[in-house]
Amino acid sequence: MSAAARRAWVAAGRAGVVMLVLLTWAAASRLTDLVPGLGPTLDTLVDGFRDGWLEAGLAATTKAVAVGFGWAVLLGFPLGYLLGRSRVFGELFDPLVAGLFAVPRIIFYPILLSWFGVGMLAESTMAALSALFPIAVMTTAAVREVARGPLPKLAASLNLNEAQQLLKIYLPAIAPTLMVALRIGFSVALIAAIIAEFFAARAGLGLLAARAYALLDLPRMFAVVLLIVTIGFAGNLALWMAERRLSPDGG
Amino acid sequence: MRMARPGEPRPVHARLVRWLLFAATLAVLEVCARAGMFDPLALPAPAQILSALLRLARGEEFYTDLGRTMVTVVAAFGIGVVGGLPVGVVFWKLPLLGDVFEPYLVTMYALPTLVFYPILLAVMGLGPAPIITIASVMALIPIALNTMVALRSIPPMLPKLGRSVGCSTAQLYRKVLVPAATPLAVPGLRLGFAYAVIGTVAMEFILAVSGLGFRAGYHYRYFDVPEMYAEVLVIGVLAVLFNALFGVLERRIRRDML
Repeated sequence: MSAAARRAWVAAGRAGVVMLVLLTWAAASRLTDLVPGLGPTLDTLVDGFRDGWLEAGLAATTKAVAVGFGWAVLLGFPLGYLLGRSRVFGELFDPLVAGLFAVPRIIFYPILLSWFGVGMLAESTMAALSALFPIAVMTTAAVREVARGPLPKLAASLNLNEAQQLLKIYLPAIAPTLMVALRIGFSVALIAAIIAEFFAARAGLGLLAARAYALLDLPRMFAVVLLIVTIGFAGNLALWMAERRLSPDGG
Repeated sequence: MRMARPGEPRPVHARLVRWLLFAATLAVLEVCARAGMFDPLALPAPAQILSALLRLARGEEFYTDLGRTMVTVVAAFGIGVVGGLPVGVVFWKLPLLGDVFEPYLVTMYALPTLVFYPILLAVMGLGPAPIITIASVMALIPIALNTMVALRSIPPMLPKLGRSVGCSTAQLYRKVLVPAATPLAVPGLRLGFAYAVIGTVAMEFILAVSGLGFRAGYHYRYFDVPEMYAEVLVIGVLAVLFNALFGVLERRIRRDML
């Protein structure tokens, strides 16, 4: 099979998977009242944007994820870089970071609620806390990988200072891993924000889904779920494609 | 800032300094809390959290929650392994199929699978089944992906060598492919376990009637703040312990393989 034919088959297969999911949904909606059809769900989605309730929820969730993800990158990258470059920091805080990485961070949400009260601050902090550790851990691993290679010797022979080493040596070398870290971080921030909104929030898509569920308003619930899934899928796919372009074998 | 250099002796006292830092933090928190510097509804003194933990440990409820959470995690991880390993093998054997599904598997991480929980709840009822279903899907994905990547990264020379010395298919798997794939596949298992824990606790947290995750949220709603901290502490310690156990296992397996 030629490379072009193979690519065509893969593309067709990927489209086929989407079709299969939609067909399964359609079949399920015929079989049970618990699953509304594709049509009513899309109608509710459109209505939601026209009436504004969906837009308000979308805006709240987007803000919580964006703020949380932003803080996670701003804090997670330097933390990971420091742990990777400095032996003292690494020795001292490696177990702490690895341990917190393994803990399901959502469990800190009640604590954040009792600190900040229900609202945007608690949600965005939750998203930041969730995304920070994957970003830090992957950055540390990538920096250590580079430090084992020949590049630090090059940096030493060129007498590069700390800032130059970061910008000219480490950042380009770890860029592919950093993209993976950003993608995972985004995903984790989104999931954390949605779970947080499910539990307690003033606005957001998670809250809308939880409310629709409590009222057994199934088309509304499916419309919100569809929107959440689309956001997660689209954001992740875009970052994944950027990541493959950056990876050394060209994807 | 001292930079990491190969050959530099390891600081011997890292562990000691770490524990000292930990103890100092606890002491500062205790003193500040007693001095009334924190709102007791936001941050109780460490001693209060400890006594809440002891109170919980005397009750029966705590062990029911603990048992429920552990059983759910183990069941979800088990299903994730039993389902994820074959999926990884199939995607490696049929590379076209693997390429078709790869973007979906990769993006499944980003799909808040838990939004399907209310639907599963309606279908399966308020038992452990919906939680196990979601947590096992979350565990399955990294296991399948890592298995596929691990098998794909085996140099083609190895199976050829195996064939040339007359390995049967069973022998090829047992003696060549499995050992060669293990170093990359085991981190997938570790990740799968972490995801099983995250899935379980998150589900319990939002919509369950028992389990450690549920209990933490329950104490929050009833303003039992020290108890809430105690449950969070238990979940944290359990997660760290299991992670460390997997770390030891991973190092041991790698040493055997390499």
